[in-house]
Amino acid sequence: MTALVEIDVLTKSYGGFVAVDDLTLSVPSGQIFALLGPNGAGKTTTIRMLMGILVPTSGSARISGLDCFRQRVEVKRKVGYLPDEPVFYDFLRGSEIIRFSGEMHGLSKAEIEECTRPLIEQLDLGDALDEFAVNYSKGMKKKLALVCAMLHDPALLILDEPTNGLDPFATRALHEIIRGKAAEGKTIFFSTHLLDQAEKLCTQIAIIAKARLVALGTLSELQARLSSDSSLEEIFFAVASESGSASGQ
Amino acid sequence: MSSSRPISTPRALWILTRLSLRRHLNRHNIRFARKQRAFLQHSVPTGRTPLKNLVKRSATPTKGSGLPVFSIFLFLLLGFNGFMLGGRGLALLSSTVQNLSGSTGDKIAVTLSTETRLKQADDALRQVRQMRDPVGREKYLGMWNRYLDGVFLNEVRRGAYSDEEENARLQHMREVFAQQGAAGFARLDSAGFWVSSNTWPAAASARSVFLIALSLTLLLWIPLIVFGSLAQTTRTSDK
Repeated sequence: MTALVEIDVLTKSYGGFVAVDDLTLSVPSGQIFALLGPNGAGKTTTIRMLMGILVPTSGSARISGLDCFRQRVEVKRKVGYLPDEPVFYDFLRGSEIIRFSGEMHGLSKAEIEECTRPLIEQLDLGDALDEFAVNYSKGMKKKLALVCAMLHDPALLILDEPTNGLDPFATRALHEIIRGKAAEGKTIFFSTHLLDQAEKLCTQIAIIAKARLVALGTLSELQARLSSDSSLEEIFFAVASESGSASGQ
Repeated sequence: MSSSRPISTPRALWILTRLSLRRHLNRHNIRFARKQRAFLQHSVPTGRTPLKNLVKRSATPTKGSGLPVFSIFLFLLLGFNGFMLGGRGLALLSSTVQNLSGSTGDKIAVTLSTETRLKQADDALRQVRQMRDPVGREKYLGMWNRYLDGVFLNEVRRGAYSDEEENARLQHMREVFAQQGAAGFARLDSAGFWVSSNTWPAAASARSVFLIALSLTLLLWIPLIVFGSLAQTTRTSDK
């Protein structure tokens, strides 16, 4: 299987503080890949480097063979990105923001309409599209950003804490969308600190703690590291505490 | 496979400009809608109006209804001023172009009143030269030549020339008049106050200069509006 996302000894530091330390992993096509970690572990920093928003201090990140920073415009054509806290222009309605995103991807009005209609229905966003986006709740903003991220039907979806702020109905709808996209052969790379979500959805899991990768593999591979019937929660606490004691020594 | 397609820079600029205009329009629409709502809340209710609508606001002063009238007046005044300035600008541009592009040819440009006086003097001198009485002829020739000197002096003193330049110009005018009469002078076009059919230059060379000048003005003006709007958008999104 070819790797869609390749991260090679990626490091990001701010002065003396290291946010991501020598991260190396690859995500094959068609996978649902979860980046797990406690708050401040470096999940969002990794995602921002993948999107070309941050420049790596050293190492490289590639998507479909394209350098994530040097070729960030081309990368954005292949990727749909949902930030942790989406920010929209003021004085624009939801429908106007969707149209703007679609036009910047070179889509016609009819294509935008065709691509977004099922998503809008699934996320129950229809009634809110005539309202100004800045007045949306956090969950509504997340739904709108998700529609914008998916309207060009990208091969890779990068979702930063996607269910953060969503109600249970929207969370379920999002899970269905993620499964549907994976079934279509798309790759989903998402960060979360919700262990049950990763357990339910993912085919591959990476756990990072204190800026370093501490575990990588399928759920069964991770279970094999401890005892055979450990839950992801037990695995997470075990590897995170191992990492804590290792860095403390 | 992703359906995202690259777009050209002009297309991207057009989308951003349209987005910026849309935001401005939405902002103004909201302001207008708020005012309309406030006006409806404070108007006298009629028919089966719910009781809550009859409650008048007492804690804060109501906005005066004179404001929209004043705004309309101000808007009309600004519109009129804009129209007048634009028209005057066009007329001035046309006049400058017509004078610059040498529509007077090799003739000396003079004001309308000077041109009239010169024609009058030319006619009179022609009649005087035909007089049979030499004494009378000399007398009237001297009178009209003095009159011409006065006319030339007035014309020259309109411009800011040094004494030497004045003398040289006077001499040149006298020579031209002696050789060609009033035909050696042409009226300097002054800008009309209103835009009229005369604003469009008749001469082909003047017309092309006028069109180039107008196009350049518009070309500089449009980027100013577009980039100003984009800068405003960026500043707002930064906030």
